[in-house]
Amino acid sequence: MPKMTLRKRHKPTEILHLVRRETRIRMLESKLKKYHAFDLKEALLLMDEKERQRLYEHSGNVKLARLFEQLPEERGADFIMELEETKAKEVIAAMAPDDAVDILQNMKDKESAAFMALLDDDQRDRLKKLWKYRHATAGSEMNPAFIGLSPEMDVKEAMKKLVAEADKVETIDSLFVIDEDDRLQGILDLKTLIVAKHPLMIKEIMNPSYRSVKTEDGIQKVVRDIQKYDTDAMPVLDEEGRIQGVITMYDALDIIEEAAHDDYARLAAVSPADSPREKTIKSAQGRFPWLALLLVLNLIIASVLASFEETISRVTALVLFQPLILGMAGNIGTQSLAVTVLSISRETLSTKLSATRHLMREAAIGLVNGVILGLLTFLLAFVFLTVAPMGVIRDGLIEPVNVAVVVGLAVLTALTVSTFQASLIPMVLHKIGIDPAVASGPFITTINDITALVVYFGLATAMVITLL
Amino acid sequence: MDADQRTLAGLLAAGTKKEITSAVDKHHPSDIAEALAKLDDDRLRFVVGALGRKRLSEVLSHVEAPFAADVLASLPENKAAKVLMGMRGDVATDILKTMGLADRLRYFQHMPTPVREKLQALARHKEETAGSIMTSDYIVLHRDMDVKDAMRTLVKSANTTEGIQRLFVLDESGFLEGAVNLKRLIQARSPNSIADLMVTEIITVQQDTDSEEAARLMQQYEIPLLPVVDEKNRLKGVITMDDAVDVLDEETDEDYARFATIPSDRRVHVSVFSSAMHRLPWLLLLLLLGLVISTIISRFESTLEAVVVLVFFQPLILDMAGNTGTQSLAVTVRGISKGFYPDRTTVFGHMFKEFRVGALNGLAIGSLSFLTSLAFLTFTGAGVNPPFLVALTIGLSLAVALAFASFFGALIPMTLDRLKADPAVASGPFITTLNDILGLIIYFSLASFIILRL
Repeated sequence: MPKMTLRKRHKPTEILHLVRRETRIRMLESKLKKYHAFDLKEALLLMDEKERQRLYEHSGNVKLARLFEQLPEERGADFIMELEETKAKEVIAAMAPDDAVDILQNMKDKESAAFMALLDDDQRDRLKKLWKYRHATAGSEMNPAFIGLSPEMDVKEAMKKLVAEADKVETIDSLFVIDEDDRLQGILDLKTLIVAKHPLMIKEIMNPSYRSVKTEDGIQKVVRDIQKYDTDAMPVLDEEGRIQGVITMYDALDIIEEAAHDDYARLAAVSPADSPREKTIKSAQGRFPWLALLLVLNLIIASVLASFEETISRVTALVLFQPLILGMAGNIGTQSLAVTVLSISRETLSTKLSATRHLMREAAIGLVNGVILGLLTFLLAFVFLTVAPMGVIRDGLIEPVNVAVVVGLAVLTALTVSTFQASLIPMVLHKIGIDPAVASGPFITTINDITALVVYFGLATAMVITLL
Repeated sequence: MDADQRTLAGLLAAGTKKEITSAVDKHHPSDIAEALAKLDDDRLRFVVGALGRKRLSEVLSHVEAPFAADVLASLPENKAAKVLMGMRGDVATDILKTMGLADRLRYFQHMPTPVREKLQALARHKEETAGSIMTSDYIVLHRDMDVKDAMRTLVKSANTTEGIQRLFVLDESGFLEGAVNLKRLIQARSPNSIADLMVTEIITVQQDTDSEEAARLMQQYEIPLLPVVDEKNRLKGVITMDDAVDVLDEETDEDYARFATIPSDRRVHVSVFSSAMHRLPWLLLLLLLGLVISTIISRFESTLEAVVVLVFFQPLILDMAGNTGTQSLAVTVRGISKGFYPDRTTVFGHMFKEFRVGALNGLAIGSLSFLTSLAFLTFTGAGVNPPFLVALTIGLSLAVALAFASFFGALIPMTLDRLKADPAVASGPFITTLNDILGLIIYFSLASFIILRL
């Protein structure tokens, strides 16, 4: 039972109340110490600036460092500027270097330069080393701290080194055997070391055939590899095979979580930083660009519709089914888009053959659903127009069936084409190096809208207007 | 690595038994598993026969459970049972669960009683619970052990235990007293008792806790091995990090898929027809809801006939309202899942905020749309109505529609959450349709009033 209270108590809210109400300073500090950095971070996101200042002031620097490691990068950059100088310096120095760099890179150049100037020389060098890696590569996400052993070491010496350095690293499950030039020779599983009996040399018990990634490898691929091969700590090598750092299974978990969060937000065209505590005006600003883009794209749609002005004004009944057709075409496109984006991220479409097969498959799925829904829509539209005739139909100039056929055919065509387009576009975007999850949404919606409208009113012009 | 893969695939597809047996140890079980899935039935049987029992346990741990069950069915019963026993408990259970009861019992016959009982206990856990992904391999210490005794225990069972980053301290009756981090243990010097090293305030989950929640706890609090206990706090098993990675990864795909209303099926070899059938229900729902919208539009027949240009901008209104609603929905769903709205004040506060966000963007987008549509109508000369009035209708409609669309985007998931329905699943079509209806009513009503009356 007490375990259930863990969620129910909602620790971030608890921390928020504590910071607001606890007036006894020593009490506040000792209570804050007990919370995990994750809960403090969640609480921080709920606070206003005065409350945040109180939290900074009464928390230890190491705890704050853990907290800042967990913050979304943009927020981390904002918040760390609220710290007073010496505190900021200590916190950055205590942070995992990859997370510190992420935060600094989210500042204006001038600001990050000011922070870099605060740091000691060796800390600055450590961060600068990571600075050069491109975003979302193994190099930018790795932790440069690892335990390195030499192949000539004896088991006992290795154990001694492990004990001495254990606190510097995230995980001690894997130890890395390197030569004088840092070139990776093999990996030693902690279990093997623990079980091994002195005297034995490290090179006798290490595993020389290890998995590794390159600093330039994309982070999603690294996560896949860690998952596929159950690797506790994946070594990251430079071009010459020298070990630069490691990516652990913890990192993989974080990256999966972040990616989930980002993908979801992107699909809905909101910024991942759009949080409940964000000021109204800032939230609005963040969402505005997409809406503005949509406005521009919709002017194109309006022009397309304007070219059918005559058809529309003569057969107003057509307008009744326009939202229905656009709605279905849009949804079927989103479905196909999502399947394709997932397949791309799982790297199952890497060959030409698999890509073509995927396209054909999606088009076939679109066709099947197009036929079913086209037929159904035809029937329903026919009933609808018979029961509630409108415009030229009521005047007896056209039969309900004529319009219903147009509607049904438009659904069939629009659904098939939409499915095909929505799987083709993300693949093309991916090919030319644009993240398909970001760019696809508004494009596909608009292209699908235009296609559906042209098909719909085109068919109507050809099949109905000629009857009048 | 690709070249490596190709030679492995080639070897499995055409190699002799001897070649396969001697070369296969160089490859990771995960790679062998991938290659195995591509073989035809006869060849598959041949290759499986060439793999040693231990190797086969490792490889089958990396394939989809139904496939593993098929492979096992082609083996002699007692060999299959041994292969299952060579796997981790939770993995073997997953495979056993995909079989019929009769098959399962046949394999159980060939297992010693304690193993069978362990697997049967694991199999009782429902899918997607902590109990279903935990393993019963972990290292047990006692509070009065000295560091040296603990190290001895560790050395003895390290090779047969998957996760050793944390060791668990149990009393005589199996109650969980605390945990010791491996780092602390190897840094400690004898004499020093485990009672002094262990941490007693630890996060645990119950066997029926949702597996996603368990995985998320591991991610958030950086827990390398998460203990699973029963109501009395007796240790039942532990969840390892690699399982947490798998759970979150699958969950990510599922959420994304739900949002796009597709089934999150990971199988690739599903027929076109059944894929189509899976996607059909939402489309059917949309079709029916679309007819509701048709009915509403038909109420405005006279307005439509008098002002045809309204139709040109109808997609604009609907897209904007739809998109705004989805944005608000995404933010709200995320907030709900993160527990940002624990009480009434925060709930209403958030809904009001979404309304204001919508209203702000409504004003901005509305003014912009007024200007652009005015320009559009003036330059193209489309329609017979005064461009100024039409543009005014469009601008005003957007301002009002966006504020409400944003409000509904927050209201609906919160209501669904209250009703204990998953807000991420059910909200999509509701919001789209509701916002469509709302947008159209506002649009055509304003048009009737502004353009026809004035």
